[in-house]
Amino acid sequence: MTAAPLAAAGTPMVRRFRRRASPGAVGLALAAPTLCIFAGLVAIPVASVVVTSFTSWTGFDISGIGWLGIENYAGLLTDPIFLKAFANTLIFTVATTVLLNAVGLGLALLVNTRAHGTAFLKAVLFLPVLLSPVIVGLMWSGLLRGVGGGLNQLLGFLGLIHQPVFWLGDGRFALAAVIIATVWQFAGYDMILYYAGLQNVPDTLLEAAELDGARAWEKFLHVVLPALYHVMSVVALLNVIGGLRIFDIVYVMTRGGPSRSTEVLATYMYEQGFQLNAMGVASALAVVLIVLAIGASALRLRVLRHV
Amino acid sequence: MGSITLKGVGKVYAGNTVAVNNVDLEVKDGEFVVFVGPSGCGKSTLLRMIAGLETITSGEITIDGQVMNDVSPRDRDIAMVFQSYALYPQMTVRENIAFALELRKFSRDEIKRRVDEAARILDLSELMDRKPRQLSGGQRQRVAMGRAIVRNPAAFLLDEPLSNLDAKLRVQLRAELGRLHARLGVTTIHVTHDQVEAMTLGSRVAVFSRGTLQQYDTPHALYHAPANIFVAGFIGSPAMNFLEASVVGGGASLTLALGPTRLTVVPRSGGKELSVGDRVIVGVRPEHLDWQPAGGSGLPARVELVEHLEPESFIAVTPADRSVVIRTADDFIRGAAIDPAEEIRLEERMLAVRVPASRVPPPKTEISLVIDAARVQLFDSATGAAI
Amino acid sequence: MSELALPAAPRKFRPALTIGSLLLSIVVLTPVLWIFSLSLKTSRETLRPGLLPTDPQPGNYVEAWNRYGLGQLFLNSAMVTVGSVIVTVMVSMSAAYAFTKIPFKGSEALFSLLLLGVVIPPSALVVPLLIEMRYLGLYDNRAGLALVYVAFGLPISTLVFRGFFATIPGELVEAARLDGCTELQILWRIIAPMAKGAIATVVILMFLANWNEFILALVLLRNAGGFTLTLGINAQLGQYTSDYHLIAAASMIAALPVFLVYLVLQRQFERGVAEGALKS
Repeated sequence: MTAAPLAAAGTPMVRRFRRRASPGAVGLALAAPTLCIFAGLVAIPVASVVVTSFTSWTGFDISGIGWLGIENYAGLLTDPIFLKAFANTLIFTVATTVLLNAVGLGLALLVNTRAHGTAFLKAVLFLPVLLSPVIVGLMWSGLLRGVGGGLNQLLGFLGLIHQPVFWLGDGRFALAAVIIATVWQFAGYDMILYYAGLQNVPDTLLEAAELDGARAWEKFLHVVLPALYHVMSVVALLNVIGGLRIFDIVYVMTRGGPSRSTEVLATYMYEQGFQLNAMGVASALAVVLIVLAIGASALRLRVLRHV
Repeated sequence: MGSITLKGVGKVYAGNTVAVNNVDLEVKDGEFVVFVGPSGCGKSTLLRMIAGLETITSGEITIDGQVMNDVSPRDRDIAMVFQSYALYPQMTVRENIAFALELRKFSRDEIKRRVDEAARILDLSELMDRKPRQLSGGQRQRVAMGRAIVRNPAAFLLDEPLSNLDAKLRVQLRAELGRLHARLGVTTIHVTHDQVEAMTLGSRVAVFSRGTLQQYDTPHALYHAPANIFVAGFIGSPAMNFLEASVVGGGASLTLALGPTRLTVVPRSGGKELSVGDRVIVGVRPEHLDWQPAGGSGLPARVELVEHLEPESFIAVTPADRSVVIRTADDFIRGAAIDPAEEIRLEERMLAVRVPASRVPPPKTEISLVIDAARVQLFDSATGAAI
Repeated sequence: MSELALPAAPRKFRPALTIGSLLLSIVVLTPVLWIFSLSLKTSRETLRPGLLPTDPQPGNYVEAWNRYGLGQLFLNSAMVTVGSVIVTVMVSMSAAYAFTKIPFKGSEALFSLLLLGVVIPPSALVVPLLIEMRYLGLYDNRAGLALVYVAFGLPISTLVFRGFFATIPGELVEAARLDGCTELQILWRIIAPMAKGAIATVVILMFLANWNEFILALVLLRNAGGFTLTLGINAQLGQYTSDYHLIAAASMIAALPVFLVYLVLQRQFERGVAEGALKS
């Protein structure tokens, strides 16, 4: 052995023989904060709404709790307001999901042409995504107000109406107004997702289709669309889950009115829990919401497996 | 200082897959040992167990006499070079090399001195402020070495450190590794699947197969006295030829029948006693075979393929007598019995012969194969162990 | 690569596409522009027809700021958002690290359970959360609200980080262990600097969600002094309908910081939002 400059130099490394903690324990310790916070503020509340949904609790005296079994659920089934809220939630969810998917995909295709002006459109479309639904609701309330509202002014100017229409105060229009406001807010979000999906369409496939003499729409149908199935399933699921839990925008624009025409499950739950103190009923409604949301994601997984 | 001892070391994964089976092995201070074997033989797993990256399910690992089974990797005082080099992408070369010293709270001056020294030894001084992605494969490999040597550890563990390099660079860096070891004298365990790397670098080589240590010896001994048919077949390229023979005459020297040909060999003293009628495997390396024109005294054979190389070429031949059975080391991994379904493949097996390029026989001709009886090795026909 | 994703529009269509894009942009911008116009009108003018304010009142913004205490609301929103985002990133990063690089007994099952949280609607849990936060003494408390935001942000954040960490080679982590890192040092000194993109994604997702969140704040905060911006603006609705111009001004003020951050970080925002959704 000739010169061994490093071996000879300085202090050798101190060797300490600490017993090591088992790797499993270290892993658990690192995951523990997440697991504890999640358990405490999500898992336990989920368990507790399930339990509360079988009781008559009013939110005050614990001793006054009575066990009702499935009575709260049975009560919901004969409650016309619940049925209305359930129907509205379904209409809202289906309408926003269909519209957002169509609008989102269409806008993504437009933006993806990279024609002049599309970059600006892309940025503009994303602005509403950044807004709180409270502010979105407020904007649309302003636009749809009966007196001084922008839409009435436009329609009046065009000579289409002669009396102000109270869009949000009219049971025929209120739900549609909330749906349009929601589509306006999230169209840019879905556009971005579809746009990201379009970037992943394999060029080689398109070139192959081109060589095979495929027409533009054939390429879209047979190459582009299949490549977007995954994105489509994500967008659909997000829209469905978002639709089921819708609360803020309805609460701000209509509070569920007029005469329950925009009542949805979450607003009805809020009313039962915080205005009527019927915690048992509110919890039963919460369980319905949770079951629907989990059901939707399970359904997506099933469908994806078959694609 | 750094001697490493393994006593009955084993690892069984959940589901009872045995990755490493009862390995006993000692690496002396300053020694360069190579673990070699085909992929999946457990050599890397064993190395990672020594490093503390894998748990041990049985046995004991000691470094300098201290039991390491439950010591965490960072306290084992060993440095490792990974196949992918595992350089920290966000750090410069200097930061990569200094990182371990920094974590161990070395003084700024000491870190600088050691890092500069390592850079000088490995010829990295020009590259110290680059990021790993700006380096070539060979440069990355040297940085990984630098990261190991600054620590002046008890041992280097090198996990396939050259296998991500192209052939030419591999040979060059192989030589550099050898020089580095000669200079630093640090105990080194080098894992590779390349037997040439093993033979050229190792002062001793441990050959593994299916989680079991097959033989642990000097390269010379592995080549000339393989412990079993697996080692004999694994070391040397092309691989040793194996032929089934039967004992037809006993005494101080045995007479073996290879089809019509007789071969007289002197068995190793102290080996298993063989008597007339026993089956035995005759191992003969390609360089210990030669040929004569057909009609000679050797084993009649037919030239199937000729691989022209200079200065020595290889020819592949099949025995003319179909009763001569050619075996391979693989037969013994699966168990000694030959699967009947393999019969056809058996027919296609060939013997490799190394001949000077100047006297290559023409292809598709009949020749007489001469076996250098003094250099053959005998193996048990059932177990594959050397006799 | 994407030029091909759709058959490049024939040249003759391009002007039409441009005009269409600009028209659509105007349609999409209309509600924002309408509110902006409203925010500059006088109180009386809000009820009268007219697209543009006849006499723009920038003073509306000052008045809205003062009357609604927007300074305090801003501060509250900032505290709750920044606090919850920082905690979410740190906590979910270490959990994702554990889930990918140091799996432990039951870690798969626990992760699946955590994933269920992605679809649980926060609105469904307001009743038990209210009771629990009262019990913990965290009701009507900004830190308590931030903690609830953390809880609902953890599933998606952990998922995003886990997706990124899975692409980091295990040998890098092992090299760091041998170099002498503790697991926490590996996380902060090796992994975190590599994960800047994933951190940006999570920060953007959580910032948007928590800055704009409404129902949890509505249920868990009572005292107006602790209100977040969305809550404070909502509280003005329906009270003084004649002050619509001021509410409009307040909305513009509330939206401004998010717009500004978006203008600077447009690319990261779009990528972050897309990754947050598509990686799940």
